Amino acid sequence: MFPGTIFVTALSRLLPPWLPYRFFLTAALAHVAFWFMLTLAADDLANFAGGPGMVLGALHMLTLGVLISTVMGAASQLTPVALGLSHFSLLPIRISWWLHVAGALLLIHGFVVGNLWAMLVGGALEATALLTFVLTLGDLLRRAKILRVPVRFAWLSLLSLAGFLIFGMMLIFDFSEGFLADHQDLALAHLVLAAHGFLGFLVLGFSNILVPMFTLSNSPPAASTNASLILAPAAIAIVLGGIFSELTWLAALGAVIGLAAVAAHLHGMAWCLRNGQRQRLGLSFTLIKGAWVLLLLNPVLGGLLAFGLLGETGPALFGFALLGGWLLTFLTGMLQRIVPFLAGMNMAGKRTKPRRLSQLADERLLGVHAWCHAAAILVVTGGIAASHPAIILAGTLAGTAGSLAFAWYIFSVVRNFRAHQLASNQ
Amino acid sequence: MYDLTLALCISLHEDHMTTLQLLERLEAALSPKSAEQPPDTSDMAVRDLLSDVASVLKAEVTNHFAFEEENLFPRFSERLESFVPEMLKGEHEIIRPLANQLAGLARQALEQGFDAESWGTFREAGLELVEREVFHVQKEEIGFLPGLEEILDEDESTSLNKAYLEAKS
Repeated sequence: MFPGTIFVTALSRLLPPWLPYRFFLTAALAHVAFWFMLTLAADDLANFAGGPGMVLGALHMLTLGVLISTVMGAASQLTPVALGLSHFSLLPIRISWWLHVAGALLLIHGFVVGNLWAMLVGGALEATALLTFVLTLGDLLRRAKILRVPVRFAWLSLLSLAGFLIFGMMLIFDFSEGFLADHQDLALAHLVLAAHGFLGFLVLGFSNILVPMFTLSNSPPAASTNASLILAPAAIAIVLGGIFSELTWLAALGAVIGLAAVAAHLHGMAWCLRNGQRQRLGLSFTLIKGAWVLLLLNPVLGGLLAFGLLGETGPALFGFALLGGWLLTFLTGMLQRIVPFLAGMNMAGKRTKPRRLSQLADERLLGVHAWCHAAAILVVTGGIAASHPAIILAGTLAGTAGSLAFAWYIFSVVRNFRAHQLASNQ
Repeated sequence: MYDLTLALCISLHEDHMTTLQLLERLEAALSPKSAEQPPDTSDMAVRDLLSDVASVLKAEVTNHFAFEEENLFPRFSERLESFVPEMLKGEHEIIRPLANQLAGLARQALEQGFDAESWGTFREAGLELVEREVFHVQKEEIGFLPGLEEILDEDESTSLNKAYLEAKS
């Protein structure tokens, strides 16, 4: 079934725009903060292997501030639209945003300065925010009767969320109690569950809706989506087994299965691009395609890491390629598409003639972001591989410049949308 | 392509395909580089594009839009919901004068060619039309046609499709 079928009634049931926008604006600000913090942490990044400090703070500014804010906003808006259902209440989404912002700031502060109480309280607030989000998302998924594959990916994502929250709290307690036999193994499992599990499953699931919607194609072939739906969770389970049992071959097997899952997913995405009515997809899809290449690379890096073939800087290289490479590139590509699209949907049907999407903000800012982002990913990756802080610093400065352009773009869209809203209400 | 089964929806979808293909060609011709100099209207590729702009857009905003407004939007509002048809009708009102202007400029250029001023006007109107019409077609494809598939039965679709094809010819 074409995923757009669901839009029939959903077009009239968009959330109040400021609800998803508050998550997207948070993500845009956190994006700047992430690159800036990484600039401050350039000396320590290459050899980072866990522990409190600026690198851990920057890492969580990226995951919590940028990536999770983006998926919370997108899932809150897209899930009811896609499933043709209404949230039972919008209050949990509003509450989850407040808790998420407060929790993330406190947790990150705790990580940066090494304050255990800030970590504990921040972690508890963040966990409450995410569980509140689960409440509303889970309720929609429970009532879903269509879109089997994206819904199952979303359930897998919520399952992973439970795992990474438990692991995350254990890691915080371990900073004071030191009860874990191997802190690093649990940290790696936490990363895999958060990035490939919670975030990755949601991204894979929603890609099966968003990519056909933007390219105006049919849903990807069932063989591809079913294969990725089976292989991706199997890969994560096997990788986790490999990490905890310290069996290198098992972790490597998980990476190989992960590679097959990624290949199946990308086969479906390529099918949408080939068969879509819209071929000129703009800069956002250049980023998205770049992110797909990095996604393909990730299980390869994971396999090399398992065999210790990435050297001393392997953990940092793997983590940066996963979070800064695949997920950040993909989500900034999607975000620059979703934010004006949402404005366009909300401007339609009003008395005032809506602005063109391209007039909502200066699109040259996106060009600046794309170039700076590409340079940042390549240079920081090279800097980590060479264990050279000055190269890493150069890359993070490019990333900071790009993130400022990106934030300017997102805020301009929202400001101009607000101006249109005010004009329409007069 | 979208698992559409009703003849009417397939006809409307095929028209969207034709329009989107034209808009992609038009967008390519209006690239930022093209702002420097008006194209040579004796070039066959340029003439083909201008002829298609004149004919396809005219058909889109007269037959296609009018048929939807007179025959389909009321049914959709009555049987499903009114927000989508109201939104789409509002967009028709914005796109219609723009498409008529562009079709007129294309016909004029086929006869007289472009100078810097007429090319500038054509580019500006063309870029606006591409953006608004693509977004409009996207909404019809993801929200309107699947809705029609739900509310029309095969007999009604067949008779509406016959009327639509007659109106087009």
